[in-house]
Amino acid sequence: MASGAHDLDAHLQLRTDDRSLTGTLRVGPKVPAEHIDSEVFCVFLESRGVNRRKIDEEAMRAFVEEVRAGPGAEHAAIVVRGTEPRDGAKRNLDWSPQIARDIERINARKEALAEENEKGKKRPASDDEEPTNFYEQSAFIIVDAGQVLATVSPPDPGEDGEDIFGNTVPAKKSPAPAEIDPETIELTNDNKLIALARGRLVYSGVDRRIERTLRIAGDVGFETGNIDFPGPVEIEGGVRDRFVVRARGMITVRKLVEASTIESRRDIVLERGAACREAGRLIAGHTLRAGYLESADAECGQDCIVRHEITNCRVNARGMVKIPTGAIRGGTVVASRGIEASVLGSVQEPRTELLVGALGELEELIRQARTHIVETRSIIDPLVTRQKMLNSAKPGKLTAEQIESQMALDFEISEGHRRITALEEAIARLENNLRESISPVLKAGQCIHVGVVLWLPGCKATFRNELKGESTIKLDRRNKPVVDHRGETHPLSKFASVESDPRILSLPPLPGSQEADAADGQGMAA
Amino acid sequence: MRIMLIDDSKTMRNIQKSVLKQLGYTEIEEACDGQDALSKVGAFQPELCLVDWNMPNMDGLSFVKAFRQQNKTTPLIMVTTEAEKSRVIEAIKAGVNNYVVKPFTPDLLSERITETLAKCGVKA
Repeated sequence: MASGAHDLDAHLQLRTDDRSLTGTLRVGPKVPAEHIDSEVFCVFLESRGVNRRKIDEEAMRAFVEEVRAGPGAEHAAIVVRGTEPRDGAKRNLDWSPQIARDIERINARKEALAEENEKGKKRPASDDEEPTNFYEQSAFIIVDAGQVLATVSPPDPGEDGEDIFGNTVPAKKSPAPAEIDPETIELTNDNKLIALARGRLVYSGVDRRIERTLRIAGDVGFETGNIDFPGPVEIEGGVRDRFVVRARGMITVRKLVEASTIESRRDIVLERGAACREAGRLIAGHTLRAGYLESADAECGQDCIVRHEITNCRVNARGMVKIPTGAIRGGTVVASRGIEASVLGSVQEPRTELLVGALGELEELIRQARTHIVETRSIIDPLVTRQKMLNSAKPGKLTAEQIESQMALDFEISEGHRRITALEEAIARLENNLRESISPVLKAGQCIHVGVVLWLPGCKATFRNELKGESTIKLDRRNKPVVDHRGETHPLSKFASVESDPRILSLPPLPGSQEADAADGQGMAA
Repeated sequence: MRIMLIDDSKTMRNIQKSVLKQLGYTEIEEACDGQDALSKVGAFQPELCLVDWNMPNMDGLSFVKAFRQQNKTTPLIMVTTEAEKSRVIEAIKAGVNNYVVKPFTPDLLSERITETLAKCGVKA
C-alpha cells in the first residue's frame, strides 16, 4: 500500500489551511482510473500524516464519485476536517453600583448639556427651568485607592481543538474586558477591579486606568462642572465664572481665571492671571503665583508672587508678597513677611492699603491673653485690698467660718496670680513665635505714590509725598518706622504722616535692644 | 491614688483639690458630709480621706467612727479648725491618722499627706 501511495504522488496532492483544520485533496487529470478509490485516497492521506479519524467519509465518497464522473479533469475537495477549538468567551465587566450610577449621571449630564446647547442656552437661566445643575455635577469620576470599581466575569479557558494530523490546536483564553493599566488598576484573583491609586477613573473606550493628575484640555465650565480632585489639577484653558476648582495637589491654570473659586492645599499657578470682578476667591495652602491679579480675594499659606500687577485685590499672605517688577494698585495687601514691589499705588491716588508684619491669628491670641490678664487683675486687686484690710485688723480668735473664708480669699488670690503667670509665659512664647514669623519690611523699587497707607506693627503711615527711587521701610530698634532711601536712613515721618495704630500688634523690643537703647540714651546724654 | 475630700464647703474642697493636683493626684472624689461620704466609699474605694470636722447631717468624727467599723486601714486626715488638744486626742482615738489645722498652707497640707502615707505604708 505504501508503494501504491508513492505511485500516486504525481497525481494526488494534500493542501491544508493555515491551522491545518481542513485538508483539501487535489486529484490531477491523469490519475489512473483504478486508483480512483476511497481507500486509495485514504491511504495517500495517511501517508501524509493525516489522522484517519479526521477523514470525512461522506465527503470522500462524494469526491470519488465526482472524480469518476469527470475523468481527465482536475478535481479538488475538502475531505479531511479537524476539530475547531472553542476560544474562551469574552469577559464581561459590571461596574460597581456607585460607578454605574456615576456613569449614568455623567451621560445624562452630557445629553442635557447638548440639549441646552441646541436650544442656544449657554447657561441655566434659573433653577426652576434647569433641572441639571451643571456646576455641582462633575463630569469626572473620582475614585479612591482600594475602591472596588467593578466585577469581571471569570475567565473561560475554552476547549482545545485538533487538526487533521491529530495535533492539538489550543483554544484562546478569554480576552480581558478591556485594556487595564496594571499600574493603577488591579484585576484580583476573585475577578474584581480594584483601584490602586486615587484619581480620575478613565472608563470609556478600550482603556481603563486612573489618572493621578487631572488634566483638562479646555476650560473648567459647563463641560466639566466643578472640580474636586484629590491630586494635582492642570487646566489648559481657563476657569469660567462661578465654577469651583478644589484640589489637594497643585493647581495650574494656563488661561484666565474669572470670578471663580480656586482652592489648593499646595501651590496655585495662574500662568495668565485672575480677573475675579470682586467675586472670585483664590486659596493656596502654599504659594500663589500669577501673571496678574485683578479684583481678587487671595489667601496664601506662604508667598504670593505676581509678575505684572495686583490691582484692587484683597491679598493675605503668611509669607511675602513679591511683585519685583510690577505694581500694587488699590485694594488691601497683607503680608506677614513683607512686601516687595516696584511701584506702590498710582498717580490717580486710589487708596492702597499695605499691612506688613501682620499675622492675625497669633496677634489675636496675644490680644486675648493680654485681655485675660487685665480681667484677672481686675478680679484679684479688690481681693488683695480686702486681704490687706483683714490682716491689718488683727482680730482675736477667729471663728471656723472666718478662718475658712480667709483661706478662700488667699486661695482666690494665689489662683489669680498663678493664672496671670501662666498667661504671661504664654504671651512671651507667642510673642517669640510672632517675632520669628513676621518681617515688617516694605521694599519699593521705583516709587511709592500719594494715597498709599502703610501699617507696620504699632503704627500707620499715610504717604503725603511721593517717594521716588529705591526705598526700604522698616522699624528701628525702638519700633519707630524708618526709611532707607538713597543711602540714608530717615524717619518715615519725613515722607508720611505717621501715627500710632493698634491694627497690627506691636511687640515689645527684645531685652538686648532695650540695653542698646539705654546705651544709646547714655551716649546721647553725654 | 484615689483620694476622697469630705467637706461641706466647696471652696475648701477646691483648695484641697488644687493642692492635690499640684502634687500629681488626679483621682479625686468629693463628698459634702459624712453621710454622703459613706454612700460613696463603697464604689470609690478611697486610699486616703481628708475629713472636715464640722459638717451638717453627719460630722467628721461620726464619719470616722462609722468608717473605721468597716475599714481599719485606709489613712484618714482630719482637716479642721478644731485645734484644741482634747479635740485632737478625741479624733485620734476615733481612728484618724493625722491632723491638719485650718488655716493651712498648701505646703503644710502636702507635708501632712506625704507624712501620713509614709506612716501607713501606702505608696503615693
